[in-house]
Amino acid sequence: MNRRQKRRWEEIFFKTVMRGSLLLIAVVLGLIVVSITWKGIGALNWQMLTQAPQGGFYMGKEGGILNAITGSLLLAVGATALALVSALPVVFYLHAYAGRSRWVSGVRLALDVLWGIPSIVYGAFGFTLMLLVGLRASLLGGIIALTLVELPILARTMDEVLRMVPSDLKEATRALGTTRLELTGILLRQTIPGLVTAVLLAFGRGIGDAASVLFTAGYTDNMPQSLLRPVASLPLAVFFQLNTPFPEVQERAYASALVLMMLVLVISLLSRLSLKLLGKYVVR
Amino acid sequence: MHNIAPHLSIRNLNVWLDAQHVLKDIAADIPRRCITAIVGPSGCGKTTLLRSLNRLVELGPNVRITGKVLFDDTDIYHPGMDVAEVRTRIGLLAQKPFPLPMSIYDNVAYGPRIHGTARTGLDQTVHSCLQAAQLWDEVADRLKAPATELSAGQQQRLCLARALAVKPDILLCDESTSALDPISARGIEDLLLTLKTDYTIVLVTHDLDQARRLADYVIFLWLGEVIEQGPAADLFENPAQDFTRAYLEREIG
Repeated sequence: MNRRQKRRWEEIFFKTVMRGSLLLIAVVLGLIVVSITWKGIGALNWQMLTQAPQGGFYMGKEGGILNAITGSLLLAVGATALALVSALPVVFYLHAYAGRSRWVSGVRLALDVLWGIPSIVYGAFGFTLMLLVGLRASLLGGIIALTLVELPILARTMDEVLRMVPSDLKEATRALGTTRLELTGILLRQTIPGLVTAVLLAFGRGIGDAASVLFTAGYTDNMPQSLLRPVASLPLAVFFQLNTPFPEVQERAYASALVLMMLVLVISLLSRLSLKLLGKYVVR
Repeated sequence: MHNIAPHLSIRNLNVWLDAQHVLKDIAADIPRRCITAIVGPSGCGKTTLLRSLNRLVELGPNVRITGKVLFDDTDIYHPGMDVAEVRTRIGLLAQKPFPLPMSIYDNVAYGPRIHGTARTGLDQTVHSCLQAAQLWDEVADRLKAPATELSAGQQQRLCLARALAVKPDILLCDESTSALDPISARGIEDLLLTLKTDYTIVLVTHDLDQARRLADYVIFLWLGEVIEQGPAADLFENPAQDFTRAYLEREIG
């Protein structure tokens, strides 16, 4: 085999490997989506989406998962908002103020480590904190624990988005006699589509997390009432219903998972849309 | 032309990037309302010198600077100096055009907006700066369009309009035509020639023909040192140093 043939075969081989792994991922994802839909679609009805559980819901009687849908939305919205408020200054500090020091790579390393911590640990940590201040399992507790889960994800994804900003843009801005704070404004304009994607990504991660809210938000069949009362969440609704011995309730677990999946799908579509809508002025 | 005080006086300027001594004891004067060209081979420190003149050089990592740059007798490196103010009065036209992520109008209006100048008559400022950069006729009907829709040559003229809108006294040009096609490049050159009646222009170029076409005053830099400086006619026609002559005749470089 001469050199030219060898290079051609290498090309074919690696292209096949890449296509194969793409196919594998697509098939696994497809299987999950299909099996959840197939098992859950039968139990998905209007009542499921518009009612909280009634008596005997977990034995197959009347009711729905509206408590978990609203609970999850409240938890994820609250946590994403808090995480955003805390992550934005960190990220803009790293990119407009800090320069390139050892301190900056230290912050990145810390965020990477925090990202890798399992969410059950954040749940347990949040729970100890709550015990210290005398807070019971509640929407507030859940939001705080979930904020801890989302913060490193949000900060690091936004950090990567800002790293894509060409240094020429920073320099062009500074050359106009801007302060660092004004530079931050320009960075925001340049990266807003990416930042919105990062926020929606963190939201999607937050809304699907079960372990962090297990101790901290608790669970209830009631609709969310106050920041200081427990709330239900979709991942835990899936978990509890799947744990019952009744096939019709297990079917509802799949329906709940389907609802969760749809929420995440809508969020992903929104993030794609935001890239298009907000990217009009972005300099590439 | 040189009987008036220089606009910028560089005194004993040394710049180190990392451990490298890039500019060595630079002393030079930049005359007012002239085009001064900094010439020399690649890597001689031309761009670093230019960027030292409005303190952009210090944005890089591990930079050390000693010496003075007197701007109308005020040292821009004085510890109490407001860097943003320095860069407001000494603007930059970079090598590659880089519009801000906003509309054509907002690109030009950005400087006046942040500096709080031209609060009234912002439209007028944008109009006159775009006209000075000879871009107005091409963009008048699409001021709200993203700046990125413009061609590279148009973007460079937009960057010029943006720099002028800040109302600087001095304009630094860092090989500002080298990323452009020949026609756009000539357009920018012609613009600089008209602008020198109102601005002091310092221009870095590795194109000696461009320096001959534009410069009134020339600083020849070699390995971080000023070899020779003087009026363009003298330096190009009758260089004092053999070294300069050799570079001009392209025997070295």
